[in-house]
Amino acid sequence: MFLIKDLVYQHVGQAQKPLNIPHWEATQGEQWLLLGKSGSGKTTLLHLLAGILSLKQGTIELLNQPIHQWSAYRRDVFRGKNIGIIFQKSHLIPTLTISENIRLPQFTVGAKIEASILKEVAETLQIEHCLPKMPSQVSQGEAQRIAVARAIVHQPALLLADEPTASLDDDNAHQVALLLQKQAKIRQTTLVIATHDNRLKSLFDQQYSL
Amino acid sequence: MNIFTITLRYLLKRPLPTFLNILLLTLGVGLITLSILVVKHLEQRFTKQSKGIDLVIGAKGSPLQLILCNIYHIDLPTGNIYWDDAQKIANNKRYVKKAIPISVGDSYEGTRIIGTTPEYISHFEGKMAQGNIWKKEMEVVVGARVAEEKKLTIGAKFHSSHGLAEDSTLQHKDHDFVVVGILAYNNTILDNLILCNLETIWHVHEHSTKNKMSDEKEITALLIQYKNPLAAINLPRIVNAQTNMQAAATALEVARLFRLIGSGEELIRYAAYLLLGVALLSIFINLWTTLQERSYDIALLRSLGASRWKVMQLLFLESFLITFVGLVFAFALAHSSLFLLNGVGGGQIKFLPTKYYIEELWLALTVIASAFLAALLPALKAYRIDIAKVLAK
Repeated sequence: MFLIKDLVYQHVGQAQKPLNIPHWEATQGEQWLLLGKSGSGKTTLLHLLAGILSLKQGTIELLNQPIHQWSAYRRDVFRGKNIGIIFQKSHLIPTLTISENIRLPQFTVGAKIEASILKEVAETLQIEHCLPKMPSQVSQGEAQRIAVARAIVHQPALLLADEPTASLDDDNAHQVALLLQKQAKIRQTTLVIATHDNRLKSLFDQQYSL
Repeated sequence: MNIFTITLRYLLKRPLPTFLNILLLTLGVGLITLSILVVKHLEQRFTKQSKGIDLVIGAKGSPLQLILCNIYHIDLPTGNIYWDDAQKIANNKRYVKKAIPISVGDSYEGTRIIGTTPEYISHFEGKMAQGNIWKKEMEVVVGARVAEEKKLTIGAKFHSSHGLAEDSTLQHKDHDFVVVGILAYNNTILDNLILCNLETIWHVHEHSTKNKMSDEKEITALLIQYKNPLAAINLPRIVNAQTNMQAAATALEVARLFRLIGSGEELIRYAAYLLLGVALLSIFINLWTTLQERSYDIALLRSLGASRWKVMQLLFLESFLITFVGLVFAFALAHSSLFLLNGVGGGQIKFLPTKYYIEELWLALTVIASAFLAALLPALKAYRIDIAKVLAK
């Protein structure tokens, strides 16, 4: 599904130790935990995998495509269509309703979002009642589930989550992790969760440590 | 979920700045448009109405006033001239092709009653819509707009007032004017006048003033069309030097008038451009300052696959939407203001609010191009947002 080889990445103008990934490979449908202390480069690696950052040294293949060779524009479109991303904060656009926030991929990459899938996703994530509301009217837990909905509604092949549980209490953290696992399993989506949250370790077999 | 929805929501999220931007644009563009419309309209109207009238001969005074009164019927007469003196000029076969006498001084509810000859109507290519030209004294032919506004029909009778003001109390009560003809609309001064023969005016004034002292008949002016270019050089000189009358050349006076109007209009236009500049600056400042709080939204859109160009489009569209609404309001405002202008000035100058000019199109295109410029820097800033950095925060 994805293959990272001989990756070396150093942020411009920063004296930190460069990020170094000799080899990491995942097949379609696998669920991975990306572990590491804060500052170890988890977010950077996710951004590289998502094509948000440009790679100068090493290779990244996604769905057998060498995305490290592509232009930023091409990576943008590829990301919009094939990758769903969940952030630590839910990042909902405050001027749009929840329903519109979830349907944003329609605008960003012209993705087709079928009403039946939107309904089904909203049902399983228990956010149906939130759909007509504004982001300011939903709770933090709901907001994070909405962000999950937005990341999976266009049925991406790869789901990346960056510290999705860090700002949640134990109950919610557990719930979100299970939800991600379940959603990924239903659609055979490859899942990578970057975290330093020890609460999640017991839930995932496959782990990559930085 | 499309770009319009997203942009509209952003605009409506901040209703006051959005409203202010639209208001500034509307005022700026509206004022420029109005000044374009008024000047264009006056120019066309003044040129059309003086067509074929090269020279106006009347009593001494301001030459501009002479022109304004006797061609455009918007100023008071400078005085009267003797019919016999006028005839001498009119009969100058060497220089004069056409000489039309007119007598101004009475009115009906603010509309001027002009004593003249049928040649006046034919000069302005007037056609009868109903009835006929006058055959005897006290019969009048009314312009199309006058007939409509004053609800005058064939056979209607009315009294005239002495003087040109609407509220004139001096009425010639003992004389009934009778409408015998109504002209068709032809978009000339004829639309706004009541016409009769010269004798009618003389007749009315003989009685009202009880002034039997002079048998000498008077008129207000003589409208002259030159026979040849030489006339333009000699005829005014003959009149001004050899008689106690005054000759005013239409072209010269109209040009002088437009220089006067032009300087006022220029001032208004500069003020309007300033307003427009402030409007565009305000759009720019708004986009620029909101960009800070919107950088998360932009980073998110980028993470969802929106290209840099797509993000720029959002900002351009926001600027264009404000501009578009402002332009629509501005043109609506300017054109509807012409209705109001039609109400002032005694109704002698009529504007056509539905007429559009090519200059308005250029103005609209210029404003749209400026809206593009106003959004350019914010859009470039959005283009350069380092989304990895913003998302990692």
